[in-house]
Order: sequence, then C-alpha cells, then structure tokens
Amino acid sequence: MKKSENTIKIQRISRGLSLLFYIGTFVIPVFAVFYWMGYNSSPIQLINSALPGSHGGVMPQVLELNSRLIGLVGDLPALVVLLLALNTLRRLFFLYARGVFFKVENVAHYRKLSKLAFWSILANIFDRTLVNLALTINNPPGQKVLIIGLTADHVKLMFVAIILMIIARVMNEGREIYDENQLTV
Amino acid sequence: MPIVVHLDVILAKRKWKSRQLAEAVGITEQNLSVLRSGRAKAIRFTTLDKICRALDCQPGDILEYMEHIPKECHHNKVKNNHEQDNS
Repeated sequence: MKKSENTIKIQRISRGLSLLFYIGTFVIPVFAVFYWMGYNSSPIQLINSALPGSHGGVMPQVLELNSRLIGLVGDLPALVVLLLALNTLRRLFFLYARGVFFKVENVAHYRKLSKLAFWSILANIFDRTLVNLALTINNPPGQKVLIIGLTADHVKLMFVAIILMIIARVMNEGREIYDENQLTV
Repeated sequence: MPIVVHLDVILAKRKWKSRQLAEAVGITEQNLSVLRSGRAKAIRFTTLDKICRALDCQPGDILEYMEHIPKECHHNKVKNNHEQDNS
C-alpha cells in the first residue's frame, strides 16, 4: 500500500525521536551521578547559577560527601521513573517509525506512560524532600530544612497522567477501528 | 458469524484460481483469503460489485445467511481454502 505524505513525515520524525530517547537513557543517569559527585566543581556551580533553582532557594557552593550522597539517593526514584518513561517513549516512537500506529503495543505504551506519570509524582516528592535535606543537613541547628509537600508541578503532572490515560483509551478505540478495517475486504 | 461465503464454490464452477480473482478485483490474495475463510468482518459494495462482475454471478450466489453453521462445515471450508491456495 502506498504511504501517504503524512505517514512518511511521522516515520521520519519518529526515527529521530526514538534515537533521542535512546541516547537520553544513557546520558541522563551519567549526568545525574556527575552532578552530585562533581557538585563542588566549577562546571556544576556554573549550571546551578545559570538554571533556576528547581529545589527552591539558593544552592550552596560546597556540599559534603554525605550531602551529595543523600542528594543522589533522593534523585534515584525520580531518575528510575524518568528512564522507564524514556524507554517506553523510545519503543513507542520506534513503532511509529516502522509505520505501526494502531496496534496493541502502542496502547500498552500509552498506558505505561500514564502510570509512570502518576509514579513520578511520588518520586518527585521523595526527590524534593531528600534533596532539600541534602542541601541543608550540614547547616547549623535551626537552619536545616525538611520539606514534604505538593507543588503546582505535581498538580500539572497529575493532569498529564490523566490526559495520557484518556489518550490510551482513545488509541484503543483507534486500534479496534483499525483491526476492523484490516478485516474489511 | 451467520453469513457464509461460498466464493470457493463459485471459483470451482468457473475454474478460476484465487490469484486470478484477486487480480481481476484489485485486492491482494491475502484479503481474498480473509473473505473466503469467513474471517472478514465486512465487505465493501465496490468489492462485491467487482467480484460479481468477474465471476458473472449474483451477491446471493456468494453470500448466504445461515443461522447455525455446523462446526465440521466451517472446519472443512478453512481446510479446502488452504488446499486450493497451495495447489
């Protein structure tokens, strides 16, 4: 069957995205380890000064090893969820690159992404709590911080998870229509 | 499904191979096999029109409504389709 121009474009872009997500699954964990272990080095300090503080407040210039380890451990659940999501996205866009749009596997990937988005909320709360602790654990008494709470980012993630869940259901409807079309002569 | 497809009967009467019919109708042999084996969920009027023109028959010659299809009849139909395709 001749492919439409739209299909060819989808396949071309999906090939690039699949490769990008594949590279991300290796680069991101390496960067995370490098960030915490090399926190006291000047490249990381440059990054901290350039990027808005995702953990709130001013980032300290020097962190002890125990703080850095707590920070890395705090990042781990969020990192695992992110890597799983990147792997799922890689597989989904690999299917799109092959021209497979409405199969059971596609629906399964969307469902998994929705579940990972829900899990990322919990992972993010854990991450934020531990990282704030890591940044302040060596502070004098009265200046240590322990934060456990929901932010606007978590609410946004919740909406993303719900939307992905609906998209998975819509894709399932599409799959049924596609299957029926395949058996229409 | 209660709709039974008698395409293989008509093909045998006209002494046509399924490949010939697929080419005449403009569908793939796999699609024709889906129709012959009873796995099709729908048939387009355009396809039915082309089949009837090619085989010089009526839709009723190809399609029959049978409320209760004996299991042996369906099993033999699938087996015969497979044997005819291989010959």
